[in-house]
Amino acid sequence: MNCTAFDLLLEKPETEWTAEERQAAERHAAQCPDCAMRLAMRREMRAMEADTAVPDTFTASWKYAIHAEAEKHMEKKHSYPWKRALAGIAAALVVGIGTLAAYTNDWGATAPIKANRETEPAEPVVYADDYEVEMAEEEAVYDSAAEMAAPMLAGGAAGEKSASYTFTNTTASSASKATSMAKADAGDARESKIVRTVSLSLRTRAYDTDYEALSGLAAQYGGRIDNRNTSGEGGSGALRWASFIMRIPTERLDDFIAAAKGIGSLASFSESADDVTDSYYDIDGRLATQRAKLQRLNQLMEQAESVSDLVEIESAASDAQYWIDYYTGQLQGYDSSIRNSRVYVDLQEISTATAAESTDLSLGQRMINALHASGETAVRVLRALAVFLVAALPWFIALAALILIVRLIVKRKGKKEN
Amino acid sequence: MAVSIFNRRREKEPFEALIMRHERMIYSLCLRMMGNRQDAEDCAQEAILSAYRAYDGFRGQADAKTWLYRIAYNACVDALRRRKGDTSLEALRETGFDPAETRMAGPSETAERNDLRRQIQLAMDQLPPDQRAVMTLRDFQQLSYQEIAQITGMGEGTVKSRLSRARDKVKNILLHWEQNPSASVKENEGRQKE
Repeated sequence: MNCTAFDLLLEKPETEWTAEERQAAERHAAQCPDCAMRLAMRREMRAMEADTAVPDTFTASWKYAIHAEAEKHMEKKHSYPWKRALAGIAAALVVGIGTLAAYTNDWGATAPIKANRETEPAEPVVYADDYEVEMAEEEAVYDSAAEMAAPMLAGGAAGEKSASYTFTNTTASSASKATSMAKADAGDARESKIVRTVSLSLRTRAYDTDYEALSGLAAQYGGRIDNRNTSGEGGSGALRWASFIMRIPTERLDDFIAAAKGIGSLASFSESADDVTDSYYDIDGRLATQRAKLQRLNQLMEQAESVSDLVEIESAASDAQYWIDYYTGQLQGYDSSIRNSRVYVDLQEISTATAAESTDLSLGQRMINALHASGETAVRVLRALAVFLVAALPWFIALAALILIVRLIVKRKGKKEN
Repeated sequence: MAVSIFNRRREKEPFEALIMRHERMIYSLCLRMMGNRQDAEDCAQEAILSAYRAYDGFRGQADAKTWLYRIAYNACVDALRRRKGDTSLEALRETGFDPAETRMAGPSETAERNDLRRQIQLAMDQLPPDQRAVMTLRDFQQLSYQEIAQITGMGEGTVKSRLSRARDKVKNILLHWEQNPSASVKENEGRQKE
């Protein structure tokens, strides 16, 4: 046997050696100090392990340590139970209130509006200083607005010059603005011209009563009904529907709206206020221009010496009169709209049979309907909860990080003290 | 032999009962690793406490014996890292052992055996923790290479090579001391001073 074979033999427990193997091992060990020491080591190690006894104190000490650890764990678990309950209630309150807020206010339904400071002017635009108007005894230079007026005679009798208006437009805005500002004095404040339009949609189960009430409401507030449409037969036939277009004095419009909202039940309401100030004064300015032009033409007509001049002047005067009538009509239309607001009212009959049908539903159907409604509400609430949790996530992360840091600090302090 | 801590109804064995069955094994490993009884008791108790804290999460992923061995091995390695210098001779002296006295005593079978045992322990104290561990688990506790690999986290090949080096080192130390009896004491005292 050589050392390698001896090493292999040592891998087996001695109890598994055969008699031949044992003799061979003993013979080799007698000749090889290294292998003899290896054999002695192995036998001694086995004996050391067999002789190892657990000290009596050891068993008692680890049992004591385990019990102490268990008691410490129980103390920690049951300490301050009210703290855990309070934390749970606080967390439930936060989530509940947050979900309710998200549900009620429809969080996330609209994108946030960013103020664009670059495009919004710091101050309202004042057009009065943008234009200069001069009356000059010189050839007229007309912009696009002036092109609507008949061309003034150029030249003519010696010394006669046509009246002209020079517009110096210092902004890129339309000529209509230039015209409207022609009469504006920078020091005067223009009166705002606002056209209000209101739209109401009403539902009713007492169609006849509410229809009569609406019909009389316009006159009650000094207004009138410009248009009225009805449809439906009522009773067991198609549901009835009526629409009104009313003109109500603007100063009494709010009172009218309050009264109309009290008829039936309000399904929808909208109001718009169009600022037509610029357009109004634009037309007003053009009217003034045409009037001045007509006045000048009438003066020229008296001084005309030839028939051809007279014909041309009359033609120009006729055109001016046409535009005067046109602009006057427009202004009157604006005045009417401003003085009397337009109100659109729809009155829709609700079936009275619907209420009766609900009482005829079976218990099962009612339960199903209630379950369906409850399910829809639950879905809406869950959606609101999800929105709230996502919205509050940055705060939760920050709070968790803070708690973690505090616990680490406390833990390290505890270790140092130990 | 793998031991399941779960009974037929998949209930875990009470922790104390589990430790009672493996108490000697844990203590023996710690004794060989730490080299003295006091440190071995401390280390074994620490290992048992660690096992107690981790017991709730133990779902029988490995057999209980391997699991406990692993905890005990890690506890010993941590303790050895914390320990500075070779105090094994000092600790032996605290227990009443003095190598010089043993050398002066007359040879007897028991004395020779005790002498060899203590020299083996002293020689093992010279080994790094990983070699000490594999030697303890293989030559003392007769675990298989696979079990040792699971406990120490090494591969089987690594276990075998570490074991071979450990055996050679211990053998050479013992042979050196055998041939130079006084050197054994002086070397250890010198090492102690370092």
